[in-house]
Amino acid sequence: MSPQALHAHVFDGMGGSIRARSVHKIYRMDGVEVRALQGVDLSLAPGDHAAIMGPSGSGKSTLLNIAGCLDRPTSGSVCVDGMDTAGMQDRELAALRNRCVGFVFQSFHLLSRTSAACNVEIPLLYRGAGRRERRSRALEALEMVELSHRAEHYPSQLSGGEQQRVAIARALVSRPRIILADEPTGNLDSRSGEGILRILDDAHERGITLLVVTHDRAVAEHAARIIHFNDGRIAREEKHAGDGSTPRSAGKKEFCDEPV
Amino acid sequence: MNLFESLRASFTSLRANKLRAALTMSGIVMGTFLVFVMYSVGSGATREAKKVITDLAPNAVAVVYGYFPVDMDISKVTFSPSEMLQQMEDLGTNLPLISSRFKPEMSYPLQRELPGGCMATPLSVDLKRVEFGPRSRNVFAFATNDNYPAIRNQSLARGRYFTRRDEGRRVCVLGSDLSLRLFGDIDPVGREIRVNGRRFQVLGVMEPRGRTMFMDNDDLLLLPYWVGGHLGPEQVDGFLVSAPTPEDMREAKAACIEVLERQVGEKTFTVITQEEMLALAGDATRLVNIMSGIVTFVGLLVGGIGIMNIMLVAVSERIREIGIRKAMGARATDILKQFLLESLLLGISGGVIGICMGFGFLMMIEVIFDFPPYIGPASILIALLFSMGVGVIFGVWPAMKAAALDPVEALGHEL
Repeated sequence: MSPQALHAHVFDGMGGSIRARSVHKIYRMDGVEVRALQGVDLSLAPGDHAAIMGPSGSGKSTLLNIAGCLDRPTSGSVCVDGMDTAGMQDRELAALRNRCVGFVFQSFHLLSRTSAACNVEIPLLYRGAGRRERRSRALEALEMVELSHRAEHYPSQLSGGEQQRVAIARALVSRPRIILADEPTGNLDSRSGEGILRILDDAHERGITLLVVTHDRAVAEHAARIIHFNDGRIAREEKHAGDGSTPRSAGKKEFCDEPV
Repeated sequence: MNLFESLRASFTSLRANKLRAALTMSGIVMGTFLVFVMYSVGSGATREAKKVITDLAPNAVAVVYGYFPVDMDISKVTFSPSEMLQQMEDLGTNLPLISSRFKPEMSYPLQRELPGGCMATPLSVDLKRVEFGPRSRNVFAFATNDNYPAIRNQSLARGRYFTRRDEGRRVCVLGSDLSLRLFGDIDPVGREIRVNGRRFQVLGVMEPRGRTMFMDNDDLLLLPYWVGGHLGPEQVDGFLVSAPTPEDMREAKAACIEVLERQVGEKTFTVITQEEMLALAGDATRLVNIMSGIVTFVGLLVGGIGIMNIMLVAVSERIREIGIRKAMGARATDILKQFLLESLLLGISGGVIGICMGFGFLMMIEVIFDFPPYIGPASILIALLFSMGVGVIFGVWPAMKAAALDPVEALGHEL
């Protein structure tokens, strides 16, 4: 899909949506079949804020990777930003990742050899943006995470919280409609984690669809929807005020003793 | 990602591992060095050989005592000494330059039978000690007849050449350099010098002609055939003939064979035309080219394997980086380009260093051996293309491996 077509799509009202229909994902590891996802249905409307919780190996990260077009489902359909990814070629998926999705990872995943600003520029690099445009947008993004004063620092010179803020700036720099965060506070102390969550909440308030995978109930309670995963399936969903208050309504299925 | 950005990324990653990059390059440096030096020396030698041959005389035909099949394929000649001796014995010839049944007066029937406009001179070569006052030099001496200046298309700067009227007299003509070294500014015409201790009168000085690979054409002594070369005045090494046109040259060869076979017998001497000499030189060049080809191939393999090895290491070290880049929207071609450029950069840098080292080495050769290697744009281009080719060819597989990595697996890769 051409960049123009992609742009047109983003602004036709579907921009920012994620829709998964009976998504299955089966891995083969050393000859053993691992059923990571077993029929997941999930819809996020543009501007939604959802958290996925569940035990390790329940398929949360796999769903996140599939939603972000890093991975393909074994069966089922995934529409990202209103576009069906099923028939897409690898380079089209790369373009989709580049323009519509921003990733935030638990271990930051910054390139250690380059400065914060250069790290933030990476998505723009693969979009063919000019040097000056890249620099100004990277600084803009760093400003949003209050790190413009550390633009020339290398990741090793930054604290964990700062590194994650650089990573969020990198996710924001391409002005995506969706941000996917996999345990964004998992490697951080609670105070830095608070800062990260505040930045993500700000992004959500500007209309970005936010999907966060977390183990941490406190993190999940920032979201309006908390989706519980178990054994590659959605176990239940809580609706929530999204501000850390008590649940508003319960989901379709209830499971007790949800491990956290 | 445009080319410039990719180049910058590649350069950054090479700079991060300077020592490793340098060690990797050593193979390609040596390879390019060898290719560059061999090609330059080879083409220099060919050029010089051709210069020597064309410098001999216009449409020259050389006759030397001793049989050598000129039209044989030189690449089939074996170089083992015992086999060579056997071949000589089979041919029933004496070693040339040791003995010869050519006599100087044979040049007269030769001259008569040659096509119109052709000229012939007997030719013997010797090393002589030349003295004038306190100054002395060891030089090559050519024994010829009066046709020599016309055959070599060289005129006299001073005095005259000897003719048949001088027969029996001990006279000589000097090359321009020899004259300068013995006499300086003094006019040597009419003066006496000593050649191997015997007194000779100087009749003239040749115009300068310049040097070729094996000898200085101006630092030599020209003697009349009646004085003789190393075989004495009764025998000569061979004859030199020049013809007005290439056609006449071929006819002259036939005439030489006919006349001299009558005098000394079949298959005892060799007649070779300028064309045939150039062809032989070409054969020798091909032989050198084959050997350079082998060296090039080995260099390519050694340099290339070094590059491939280090690129594979670089890819496996940077699996996570590749995953990150892919997650940020890099396509497989972007990753491929990045790693290919890196190995190309390694190749080119190694190549440039190899060429620089080659320049130094060739300059040394020129000084030590007094032999001008030919450094043309072709040698540089070939060496550069070689190093670039190695970089790309041996970088393809690692780069393809990098490009094909699954982003999820790459991101989860532990270092």
